Amino acid sequence: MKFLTQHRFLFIAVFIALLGCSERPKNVEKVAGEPPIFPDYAGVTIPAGIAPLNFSVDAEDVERVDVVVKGKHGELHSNGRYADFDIKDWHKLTEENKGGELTVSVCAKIAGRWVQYDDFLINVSAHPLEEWGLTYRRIAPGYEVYSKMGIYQRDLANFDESTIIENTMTDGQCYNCHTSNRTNPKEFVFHVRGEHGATMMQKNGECTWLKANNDALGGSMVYPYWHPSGRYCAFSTNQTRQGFHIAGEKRLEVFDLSSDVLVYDTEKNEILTDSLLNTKTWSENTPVFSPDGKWLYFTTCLQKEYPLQYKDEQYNLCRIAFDEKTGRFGSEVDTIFNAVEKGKSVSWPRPSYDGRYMLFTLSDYGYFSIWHKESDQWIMDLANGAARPADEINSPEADSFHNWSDNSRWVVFTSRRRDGLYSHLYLTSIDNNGHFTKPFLLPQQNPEQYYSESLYSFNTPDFSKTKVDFDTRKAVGSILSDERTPTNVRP
Amino acid sequence: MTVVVAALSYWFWAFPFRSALGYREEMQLFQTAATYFAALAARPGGISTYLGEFLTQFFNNYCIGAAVMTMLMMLFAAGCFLMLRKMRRDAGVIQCWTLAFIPLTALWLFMGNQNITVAFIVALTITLWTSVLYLRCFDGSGRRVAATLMALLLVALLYYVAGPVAILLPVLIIARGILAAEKPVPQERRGVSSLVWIGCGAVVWLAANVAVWSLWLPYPLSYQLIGIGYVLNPDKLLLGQVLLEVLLVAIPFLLCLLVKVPRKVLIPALVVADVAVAAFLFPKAYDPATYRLIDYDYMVRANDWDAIIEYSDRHAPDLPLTVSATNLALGMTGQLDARAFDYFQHGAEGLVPPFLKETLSSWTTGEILFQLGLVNSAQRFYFEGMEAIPNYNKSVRAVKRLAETAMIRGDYKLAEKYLKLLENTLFYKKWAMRNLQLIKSPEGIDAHPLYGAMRRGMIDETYMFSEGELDKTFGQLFLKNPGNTLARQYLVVYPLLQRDLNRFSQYMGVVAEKYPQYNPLLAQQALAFMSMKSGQPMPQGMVSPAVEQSLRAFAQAWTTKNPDLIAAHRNTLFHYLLSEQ
Repeated sequence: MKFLTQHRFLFIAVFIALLGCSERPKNVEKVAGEPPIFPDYAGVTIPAGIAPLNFSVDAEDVERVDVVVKGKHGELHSNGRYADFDIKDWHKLTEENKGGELTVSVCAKIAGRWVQYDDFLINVSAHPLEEWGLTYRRIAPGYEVYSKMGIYQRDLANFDESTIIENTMTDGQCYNCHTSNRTNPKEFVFHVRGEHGATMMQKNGECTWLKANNDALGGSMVYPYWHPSGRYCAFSTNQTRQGFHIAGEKRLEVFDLSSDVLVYDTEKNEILTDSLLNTKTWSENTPVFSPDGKWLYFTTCLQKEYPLQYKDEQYNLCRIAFDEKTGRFGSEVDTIFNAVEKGKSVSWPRPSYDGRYMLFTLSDYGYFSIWHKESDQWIMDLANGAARPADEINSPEADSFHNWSDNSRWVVFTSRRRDGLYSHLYLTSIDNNGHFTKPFLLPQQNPEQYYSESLYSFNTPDFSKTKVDFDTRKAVGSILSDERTPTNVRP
Repeated sequence: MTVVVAALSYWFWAFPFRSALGYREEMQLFQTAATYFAALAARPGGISTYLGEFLTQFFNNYCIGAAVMTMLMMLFAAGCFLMLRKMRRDAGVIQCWTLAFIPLTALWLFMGNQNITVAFIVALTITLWTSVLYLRCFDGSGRRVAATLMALLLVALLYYVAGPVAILLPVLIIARGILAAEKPVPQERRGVSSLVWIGCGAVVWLAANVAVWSLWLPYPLSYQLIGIGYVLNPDKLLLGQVLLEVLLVAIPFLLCLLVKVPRKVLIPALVVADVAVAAFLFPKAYDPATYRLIDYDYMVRANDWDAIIEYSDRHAPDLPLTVSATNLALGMTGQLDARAFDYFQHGAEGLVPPFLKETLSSWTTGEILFQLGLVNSAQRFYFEGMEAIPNYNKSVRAVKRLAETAMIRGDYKLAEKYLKLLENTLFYKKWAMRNLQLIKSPEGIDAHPLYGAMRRGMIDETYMFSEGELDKTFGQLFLKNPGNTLARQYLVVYPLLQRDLNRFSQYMGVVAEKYPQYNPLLAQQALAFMSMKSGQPMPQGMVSPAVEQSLRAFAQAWTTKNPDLIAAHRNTLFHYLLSEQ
């Protein structure tokens, strides 16, 4: 008590300071229209338990924001420079309002006066995400040279990000093409490019570092996709080149002089090829297995003279049967989606794990769609082959690579809609009729600051059922050791 | 003497080696944002890197930059001086100052490596001053427990703040222990011998710190031991770094050896030895070839075309970067189509050098492309140059150009992103704020004297950039904007550098359609050469008598095959066309 009496002025000062930190709206003036917030979370649909959708009011002279989020059950409040919600309270609110709506009321103190915008809604999906988080590569959207880059994982329930592997650990290697088997990282693969090149395959905690190049293939194994059994992994091997636009909107083109599709048998350490996937005049690319493992989808295009005819590099979506018992391919290739007929090109086919849909990217030509402003998400109903542009999630900028959650209810995809160059991750859900909900930008603690200051692109995102258990230190040693397991091509 | 050294240091950084400051400044994008500090503070030595980068941003202005550099160097020297005074209290002030200039000279020579960052000086200085403070508090105090605990605490803290140079603290503690044991001053006898043990313990403790940090750091252990922020490319331990650190430990022992030598002998001898060693090592430390590249880069960045030409007159350009910078300066001052062969030329690559995965070369080429009006390609080369910075830094220079190219291309959201980053800097803030206003009104950019003109001069038709066919691109630029004098000169000179006179004639025809009177010196020389070679009379009114006369003189010299006579014509188009064929 004596202590309190002695330091009463200090306590009063602290109390006043705290009051100042949470200045409540007064003399509020109503303004018409939804608040100009970044990220645009108005009307989005989110899974319960996701990280808080923190946002800032994107207007000049904003001094403070006061936000109330109300659900049928409960509410929470944030007051500060930007809306920064408590993670536990946010989780509780979203869990309690699963399948319902949250009403967000935003007041902002702009140039000394408080204004209140129209409320907006956030829908909480009845469908859970059922994923721990995301894995993605982060790299500057450059041309040939790359600086710091790596493969990272992010807990979707909060803002924690950790490194799976980063090139600062290994003298500037390039890491790419990572993926897990149906979001389960017990089976995990990525490619190491350059001096210490390798294809890393991790199964149940055991890492195998495959020789990056196989002379019989003439290239390295890239764009992997696991067979649901976990025994096989499909790759393509590409003779990739780049070209740089001298003028116009586009910056660069990536094209393949040639490419083939192959399947790697992890049990026999064998590469399985087929004359239908290894043609001389066609480039087969970006393979994926169907969820039942009976089909191998891939894209294919008639090779042209590059770089002269780069605009004529257009891919169709095809498939071939695959027998997992024998590792043999079917004798026929079916064209599933004829994009060339429409004067377009397919890339990154990804079947939903429930087998209902095929999500792919459609652009004017080529397959490096992230560099094509016109590239859009398309969805195909595999039951009837009907395909349509997913306009509800597309933007005027590039919308490109994507992956499904294990329950096939959620999709993560890359988009350059914020500034036309730096690709960021957006999440969306799909309803029973195959329509997507308004996508939302991957939440960050302070999204405005994070996305403004970041000079990196997010690419090749994938959901991850659990945190990837990967011994980074050991992996660095393996990469630098150059000890590689050679692969054999099945005779 | 201190004042003279400080003045010399200021002069050195402000005048002959100001480009070294500019180089260091352009290799970083120091942000005043808290997140930038947080990212650096997450690694050992990160605080020194932050302070070093904070100070480096002042190098944007060479007057302030030289003062900052001098201040740092003198703080380092003062640290050395105080350390020597602590090591041997009976040594004279002048003796200590003179000896302190030895590591200062070593540091100055070491900074000749352009990739050594200011963070290294900051880390060294912090370590020295901490060592001095520690010895001041605990040397001979007899408070062994306190001395031990403080040493352990300081080593851990110093490793976090300054990085691996923290090793100097325990080693200097040991050195003091040894020196005091050798010749202890009576009142300091207590506690001094224990310094050796405290220092040894601190070394082990430091090793433990390094080991623990290595579990989290996303860098190889070797980087951690070298110092992540000390060098732009910390992939190998530099001998200079080792020698400098060894020297800092060795000079107290040297002081003990020399303390009895009469001052009148010692001081001049040390000064002479210091100056002699510095003079001998200077050309190795400040490699003239490297610094020529840095000088060119500095002048290209400043668009100081007259300075480049003046510099090239003094130092004959012979490397792709220096030749292309000289050609650019000639082109920007309207002299390329007259004076290109006054300087060494080695093919059309001297106009636009091929892409190299290297920063300075990329930026010089980027600047050439920017001045030509090839906005997309300039954007690419600036971006690539930035990504090639070996310590993964971003660059304030590159980001500024990227903001400009984005504005010209009409990518306003992207330009805004870059401008907001520059808004978080000290020296580019005003520029960024001005341009943030500008992008709000695209018509303002259209009316802008540089951005508007460049936008109007951009090529309409896109195709792939091809290093071997840049002449076609120069032609496109010229046709789009006949006022693009740089493109016109590059178009005309390109085939001459390829010794392709037929193509030269074609391109002259293209130019003549827009400028019938265009007949620069090199065109006259080429025309005269073609006429003489084909045995035709000189076209009337197209070739000046002076050119005709110089061709005759060259032809006479050439036919004699006398190298001495030919040498007089070495810097002419005629010689270039006939040589190396």
